[in-house]
Formats: sequence, C-alpha cells, structure tokens
Amino acid sequence: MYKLFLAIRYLWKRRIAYFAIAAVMLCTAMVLIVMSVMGGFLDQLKVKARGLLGDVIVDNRSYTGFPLYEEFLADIANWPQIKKATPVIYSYGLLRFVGSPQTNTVRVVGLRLEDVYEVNAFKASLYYEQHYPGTTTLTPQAQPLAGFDMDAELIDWRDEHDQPMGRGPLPLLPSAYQQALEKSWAAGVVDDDSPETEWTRSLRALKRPPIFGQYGLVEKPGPPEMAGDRQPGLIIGRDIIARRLPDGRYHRRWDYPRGCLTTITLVPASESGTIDTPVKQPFRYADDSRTGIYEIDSQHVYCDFDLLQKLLHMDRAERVDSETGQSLGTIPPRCSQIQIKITNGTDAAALTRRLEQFYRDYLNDARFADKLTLSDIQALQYVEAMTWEQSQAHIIAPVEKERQLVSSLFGIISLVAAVLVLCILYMIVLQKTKDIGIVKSIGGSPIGVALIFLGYGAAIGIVGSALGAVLGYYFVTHINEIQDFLTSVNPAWQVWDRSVYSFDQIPSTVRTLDAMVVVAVAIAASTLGALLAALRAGFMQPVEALRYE
Amino acid sequence: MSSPLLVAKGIQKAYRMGRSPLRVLTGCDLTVHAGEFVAIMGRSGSGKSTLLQILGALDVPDAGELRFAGTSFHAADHAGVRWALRADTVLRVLQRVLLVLLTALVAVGFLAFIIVPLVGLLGQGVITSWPRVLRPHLFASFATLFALAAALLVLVVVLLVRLLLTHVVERRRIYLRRKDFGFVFQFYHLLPELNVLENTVLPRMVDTPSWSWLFRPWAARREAREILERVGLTQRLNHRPSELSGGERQRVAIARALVHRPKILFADEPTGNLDAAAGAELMALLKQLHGAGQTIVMVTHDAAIAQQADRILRLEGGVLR
Ligand SMILES: Nc1ncnc2c1ncn2[C@@H]1O[C@H](COP(=O)(O)OP(=O)(O)OP(=O)(O)O)[C@@H](O)[C@H]1O
Ligand SMILES: [Mg+2]
Repeated sequence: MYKLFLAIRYLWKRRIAYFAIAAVMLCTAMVLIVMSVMGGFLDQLKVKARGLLGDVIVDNRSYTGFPLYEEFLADIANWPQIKKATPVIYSYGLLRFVGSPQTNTVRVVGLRLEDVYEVNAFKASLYYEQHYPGTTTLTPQAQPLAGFDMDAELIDWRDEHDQPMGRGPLPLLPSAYQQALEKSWAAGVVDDDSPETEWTRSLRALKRPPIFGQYGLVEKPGPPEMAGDRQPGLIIGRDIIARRLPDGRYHRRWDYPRGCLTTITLVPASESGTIDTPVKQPFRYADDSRTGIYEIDSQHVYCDFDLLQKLLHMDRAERVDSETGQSLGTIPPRCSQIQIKITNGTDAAALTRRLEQFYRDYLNDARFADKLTLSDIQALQYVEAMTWEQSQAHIIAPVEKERQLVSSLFGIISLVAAVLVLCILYMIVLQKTKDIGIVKSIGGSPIGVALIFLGYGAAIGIVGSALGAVLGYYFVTHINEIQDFLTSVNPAWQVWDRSVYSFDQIPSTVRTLDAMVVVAVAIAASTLGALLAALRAGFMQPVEALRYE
Repeated sequence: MSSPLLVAKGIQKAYRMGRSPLRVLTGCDLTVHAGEFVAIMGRSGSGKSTLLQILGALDVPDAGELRFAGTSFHAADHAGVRWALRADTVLRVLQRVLLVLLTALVAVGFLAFIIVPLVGLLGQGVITSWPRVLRPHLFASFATLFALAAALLVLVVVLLVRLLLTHVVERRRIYLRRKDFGFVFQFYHLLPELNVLENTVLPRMVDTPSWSWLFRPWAARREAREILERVGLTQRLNHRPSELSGGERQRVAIARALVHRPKILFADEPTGNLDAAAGAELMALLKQLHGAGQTIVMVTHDAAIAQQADRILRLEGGVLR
C-alpha cells in the first residue's frame, strides 16, 4: 500500500511529473488523431471506391472483352446468392465538346443504366438524376432549353458571375423536367453541390425552385422547348465537366449546359487486337457523376451498353473468310466486365471462386463446343471473378499502407515521451534518494521501493494517456469545426483543401479498439520508461541513500 | 538474567578510502538485554553511527557475528543467502559484459545506420541512390538493431533477477527493520511530502499487506495518533516537517520509530541538533519510554546525556569498552 501511496503522493507533489504527463498526453492524442483521420480516410475511400462496382466483378482484363456473357447472365440469373448482374464495357476514347477546342482522353464505360442502378450506388452519384428524378437516360434525346414563364412576375436576373442583369421573366424548363424538379423541390432536395449564389438565394426566397445545374436558354423570350436533333445520352465524370471549388462544390459552366453536344471518338479493336477505323459518335450531355474518387470522376464517361458494344464492334457479327467471302458462322457478342450484386449474408469470396469456375467451365460445355474460336477460348481462359475489395486493392492498399506507416511513425515519435518519462523519473529518483533510504530503513524492500517508481511511471502513463484519449477524441470529433474556425481566422490555415481531396469533410472514425491499444501502449511505455529509475532505487543501500546529499 | 536480545561479536568495518582502507570498527562486542538502556559514547568520527547502523540492520559489517533474539542476521549466515550472493556476483559480471556489448552495438549500429550510408550518399551525390546505398548495410543494420534489443532485454532481465537476489540476501534484515527495530537518526530524516501523521503511520503501512490496509487503516492511524500524543504533537498532525522546529521533528522521528512497537529503539544522537532545554525534554521522553519497558540503544557524545542510561560504553580505536 505504501508503494501506491507514495507513488501517487510524488505524482501529485512533484510538478516536474506534469511535464511527463503532458508529453504522454500529447503523444497519445497525436497517435489517436492520426490513426482516426487516416482510418476515416480509408473507410471513406472504401465506401467510395465501391460506389461504381458490384459486390462481385467478373472480368478478363482485356480490351476486347470476353464472350458468352449473355448465356452466363441467363445461367446465374436464378442462383439464390445473386440479386442482379449486369454487363459493362470499358474502353478508351477521345471526348470533345462541340464548339470547344479541347480534347480529353477518357475511359468510356458502356452500361445498362436501369440495371446498374440496382447493382451499385451509381444513381446516387448522378447530379441531375438527383434533382430531376427520372430525367437522366442514355437513350437518344434532344436538348432541353429553359424558356420563360410569361405569366409569372418579373424577377432580378443575374449572370454567371452573380452580377445583376436587370429584371426578366422567371425561367421555366420543358414540362417533364419542370415537373421532376418540382417533385424533388417538394421532397426537400437541396443542392449542396453547386455554389450558393444570389440567384439561387433569391429564387428560393420567391418560393420558386431554383433551377439546379445549367440549362441553355431558348433563343428569344418564349416557352421552353426541346431543341436539336436526338442523340444518345452521355453521363460525364463531374471533374471533367465542372470545376471544383475550394469548398468542395462544383461550378458548372454556362457554355456546357445540360444536353449540349459532345462527340466521342472510339477505337474499336478486332478480335486479333489490331485497330479498326476509329469511329466518331455524337452524344448529348445527360448528367454528370461524382463518385468522390478523383481518378474516376476526372476520367470516366458513361454511355449505353448496346450502343458502345456496336461502336466497338463487340456485338454479334458474321465471321467472314477474308479470301473467299464465305460465312464462317457468327462471332458472339462480348463485354469487358460483369458486375454482380449478391444477397445479404453471401460469402463473396466463395462465390467468386464458384463463378470463376462456372465461367471457365463453358470451355467444356457442349452448347458451345464447336462455336468457340481460338480467341474466344483464350478470352474465356482469362476470365476472373473477384470481390470489389480485390478489384480496388490498387486504390485501397496504398492508403492502408500509408495509414500503417504514418501510425507507426508517430508511434516511434512517441517513444520520445517514454524517454522523457525515463529522464524525469531518473531525476526524481536522484532527488528522492534520501527518501528511498528512509523507506528502506523502516523496512521497505528493494522490490517494494522499485515498485513505487514503477507505479509512478504507470500513474504518469495512466493519467497522461487518459487525458490524451479525451483530448484526441474531442479533437477528432470536432476536427471539422476546428478547421472551420482556423479558416475563419486566416484562410491560409486551411489544412484540408477540399479542391484537392475527394471528401468535403475531414473524415475520421475513432475505433475503440485502436484507442484502447494506444492507451495500453502509452501506459506500458511510461512504465518501461520508469524501469531504469525503479531499478536504481531498488538497488540503493539504505545507509548510502541516507548519506546522499 | 534473561537471555540477551541483541548480541554483536567482533564487528569489523572498514571504508575503502583510496588505497588504504579506513578501519573504523576493529572488533566491537556488545550484548543488549531486554529492557536495557545502553548509551554508546565516543569522539566525533569514532564510528558510533557506523556501529549503530550495523546493529540496527541498516548496514552490514565486514566481519563479525550479529544475533537478534538468538537468530543471526549477518548476511552470510544462511545457505540461501550465500547462494544468492554467489549468483549475484556472477550476474554482476554478466551485467558488465552486457553493458560493454551494448555500447559496442550502439557504436556499430550508428556506423551501419548513419555513417556508412551517409558516406556512400555523399560519394554518389544523388539522393535517389539512397536505397541502393543502404541495401548492403540494411541487413547489418537490422541485425544490429535486433541484437541491441535482445541485449537490452537480457540486461533488464539480469537486473530484475539481481533485484530479486538482493531481496533474498536482505530479507532477514528487512524483516527486522520492519518489525523489531526502530531507528531515530541524527538528522530526523522525515519524508518532506508527507505530513506528521502520514510520516508516523508509514512504518505500519509498510508492515501491513495492501489488502488488509485497504480494509483496516484505522487501527494503525489511531495508534499513530496515540504515539504522537505521547510525544506531544497532537496539535500538529497535518503539518509538514518543514513547518516544524528541530525538536518537534525529532519527536516525530521518535514517534515513527515507535509506531510499530519495536523491540529495540536505536537512537543516533537524538539530542545532537537540539538546545539544552529541548534535549532535556527529549531525554525525559526516552526515560519515560524506558520506564515503560522499551529497550534503547543510544549514541551520544554528550556525557550528561549518557548519564541517563543504565550502562555507558565507549567507542575508542574501533572497539567498545
Ligand atoms: N560511506 C563512507 N565512506 C567512507 N567513509 C565513511 C563512510 N561512512 C563513514 N565514514 C567514515 O567513518 C568514520 C566514522 O563515521 P561515523 O559517522 O560512524 O562517525 P560518528 O562517530 O558517528 O561521528 P559523529 O559523532 O560526528 O556523528 C568517519 O571518519 C567517517 O568519515
Ligand atoms: Mg554519527
């Protein structure tokens, strides 16, 4: 008991121990914060990375794709583990907006929109679909142009830069769009993606739904209309079409309104891998998608699966002998990926193995025995099934590594705290030499005296890490407020640049287990730091200790 | 006559001062019976404190025999203790070796980790070549690091074992200090962070196992209060030693030495730092205690004070007469 009593008394009375407590506290808080923020980042990344994927993905990593997907989809359609499966084509192309001199290289994704909505979170990533439910399609469509509500009162118009343009009539969209807008307005959908402007504010003040996004205007004042020729719709990655602002919102340009014309130049490849003549296809900008992962949002555009398949010559075709002109049967249609949503509680890893085997078994299937050519067989041989985590490992794994690295780095830095505890305790033991002699003279044993100082170190660790855990927890849970406060004091102090990172908020998750481990390590480290001092105290001879000046 | 409580025979003690040892005690014999009040006199520097510390089990003699109530408490008198001492000698050698090894490893590690890559780096002059330069030494560096950690671990284990051995060697003396001996020092030696009551109760705390202290600290506290009342400090229970006068501090020291009802009270010049009046008061207290049956061995250089004892011995030339 005297050990505990003296350890606590010394802790309380020796002010210098407060420094050790502060060091332990700061180190604990630091490691906790780093782990939580990195962990939160990782969690968010995982959520977002999975955004556009099914639970399970079947792929053969080939530009020319793989055949027999229709048969495969039909065969697995009634497996109980599978909710929905949909084919996807990945390709590359050149994107150009009509009237713009710029050309972007993009990944062109062909998908069946309705199916994809069921398989993954793609729908939630669409801007116009969110504010105009049901208006986003990939089918041929004309451009909606906003007109004017000639019956309504005049309002103040503002231009792109929020400058007053004089009074004008209230804008109005083609009826389908206007109805969809009013539906979402009634449902309380707010636009937190576009920058707030006087224009939107004043419209809202008028109890008129502000028009979300950018629409072209009819040429002369008149009712709204659907203009231009009908072209297939294209969903464009948001970072391609809009500019990301420092606060994480997007600025959509007036010269690229919804429905504006773009063209994509595609490069079909033949079965043997040689390039066919490039094809050029006009599209209308139907919507933009933001998954939250910059690499995707700045490179991907999405169009209709069947259209892309045809453009890339991956559809069903006649195989013709080049010399004789004779028909050699049909080339089966191909896709480059199948995305699958599985039912809850299904073991995804086991399912991937089964699906992969199932697909490869097509090679021995009597149905296709004489229909498959050599290139088909090769394409099938490379078909792999994987879980979405496996397929996104190249994005997630580096961050996971980084988290471990940074956490352990900070952990090593925290050794400084242990060394500080060591120094301070050693100093205290020297200062308290006489006391040690006294305790020994009244019967304190070497082990008992050593335990006083070991307990001292442990007490420093317990108090310090408890305070550190509280501090770290508070910091992590209020990290965005702290950042906002700092930014409001001086904008240059913004640590988390929302135009750089894909998340608007500094992500953070406090894992209780992590926190407990950190606290335990902090206590162990300060106890170990006290070990040397404790041993010294334990070995002291009472007579010599009493003599010490 | 009753059997002797404390017996010392042929006690020798020398301090190593440079080359020639300073032989302080050359052969002291002493027998103390229960209830006796013995005074030891001698000139300053004659070795009175040294002798008293040896008698009080705070120090060990170089040679001689020490018995309390018939049982020896000289370190080397038990087989277990002798064995522990021998093991300790071996471990001490091991500890030296480990320390040398650690120093060498730190030097090697420093070379392998910092100097060699640095020289290589400067030689190549390109930062990007760092991993290439480091790689040949990486293995060596990690091996060194590993060895360092291992050596450190072994050292800690050795130290812990030695601490245990010290405990074994000292066990009998620790027990005596805890149960049977009370010691009053020339310079009070109170714990400055504790108040009067806490200082007094501390020996009881040391003596009581934690669990029983947790449940019954009151008895010890009450007895400490009684003792403090006997030495006249009832009003000062919550004061710190720094707030007390020398005489009061010495009385706290006496209270602390008596709180666990020791068989023998050792007092090293208890009046040495007090004026005549305070000294007389303190001697009255000691006489009163002696009257109540307390065995006391007291050291003093003051003949008048020594007169109060039953028996006066003189320490001269390293022997008691
Ligand atoms: N640890 C030590 N190392 C070296 N010499 C010591 C040590 N302890 C005591 N001495 C020497 O041994 C001698 C006896 O010391 P001790 O303290 O026993 O004398 P003393 O009789 O109590 O003197 P005083 O009356 O002044 O208290 C002194 O000369 C002292 O210098
Ligand atoms: Mg002395």
